[in-house]
Amino acid sequence: MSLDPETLYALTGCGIFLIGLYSFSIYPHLIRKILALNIAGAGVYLVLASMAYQGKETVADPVPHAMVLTGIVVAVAGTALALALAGRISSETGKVDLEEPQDIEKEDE
Amino acid sequence: MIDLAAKAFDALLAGLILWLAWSSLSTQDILKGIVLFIAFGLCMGLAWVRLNAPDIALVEAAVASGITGAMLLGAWNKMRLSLAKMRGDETKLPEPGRPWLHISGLMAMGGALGWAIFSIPPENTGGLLVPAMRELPRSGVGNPVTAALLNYRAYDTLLEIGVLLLAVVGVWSIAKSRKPAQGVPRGPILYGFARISAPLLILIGGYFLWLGTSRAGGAFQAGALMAAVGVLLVLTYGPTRRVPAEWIDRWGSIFGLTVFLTLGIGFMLQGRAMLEYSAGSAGAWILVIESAATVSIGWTLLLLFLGGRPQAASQKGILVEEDEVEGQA
Repeated sequence: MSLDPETLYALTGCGIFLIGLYSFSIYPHLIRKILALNIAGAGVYLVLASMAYQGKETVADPVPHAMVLTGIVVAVAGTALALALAGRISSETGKVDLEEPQDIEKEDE
Repeated sequence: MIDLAAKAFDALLAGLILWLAWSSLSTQDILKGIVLFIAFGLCMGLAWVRLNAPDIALVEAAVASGITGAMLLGAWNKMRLSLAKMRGDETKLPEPGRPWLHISGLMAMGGALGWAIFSIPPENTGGLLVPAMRELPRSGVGNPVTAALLNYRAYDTLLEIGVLLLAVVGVWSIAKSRKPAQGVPRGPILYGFARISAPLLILIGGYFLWLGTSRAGGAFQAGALMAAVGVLLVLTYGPTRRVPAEWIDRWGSIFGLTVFLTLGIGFMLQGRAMLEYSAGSAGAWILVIESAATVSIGWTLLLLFLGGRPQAASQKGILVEEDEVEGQA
């Protein structure tokens, strides 16, 4: 059995989504988390656009394309906000992750 | 033969995309990860072309890969400099082990997603393609994606421009843009390049805006190019010489939304639904909205790239932050 291009790209999209989600959940560095979310988002767009594909000769369904375009732009807006928050967090705490610093608990005792 | 070559190309591209995604996220070096992410975006652009989605390919290359990549690099550098100043944590954190619970959960999810894709009925019903193409002559534009963005689903686009504006409001409230690093030598080649390419990029942006009415292109592609011009000029001349006053930033970023909303309300006053264009003049209104949106999208993306409220503004404003006083001393 040979894969249609739309099935191949939809499966690739699933793979990218899972890679992004995995990295988002295990790496603590905030910029890495933001990068991972962007890559997971790209996977979602790839699945959506594969569903719109109607074959080589025909025009693809324009409505999912418009939704992906909207999604990409909203993702950029979200990324900018997340990066500003991450920058603020690191300049306030001197850290690049959200782990609780251990010595604060000691000072309380 | 050509079919076989196309299949081999698709397989190679899919493998490359997966490999780039994995290596961009698994590397310890954030800079390397960001550069690989930009390469990943460009390969995604090729995948969009293979899926007959040239509109998405353009936006992917310009926005998702270009502007996002520039924002990530800028934010990474800013974070690195502020940590060096505070003598904070090393940017490299210890690598976590392999949490098997996560991996098995994700495997299950991947299996479910793959099964969902294979269980889609093979006969393609075409989704909304048929109604979208049927209404195309009445929509005022020749490109079905532009018709979907600015006619069938114009609400989405209106709110999307609103989201961009909200992001600027958020970014301005939590950060301020940093002065460019002093003493970084900028060679004559950069100045020459900026001088030649900035007008050319603006011209191409205008062409994309016009092209969007009939083929791949439109406000988002054009706006992203305008933002690219801004990014290039900021990197060449520094943000201090960019804009004389903050009100230009404010008006530039709300212009598109204002025009969009004014027209929508105007149509309502004429007794139609919001953003329901009058018969026959839809094309002209769409072009007006797209032109205004291009200006705002470009401006907003540039402000998002700067990653905070411009400093010249806060010097005149009420708040003078510690950091700034220290910097002037």
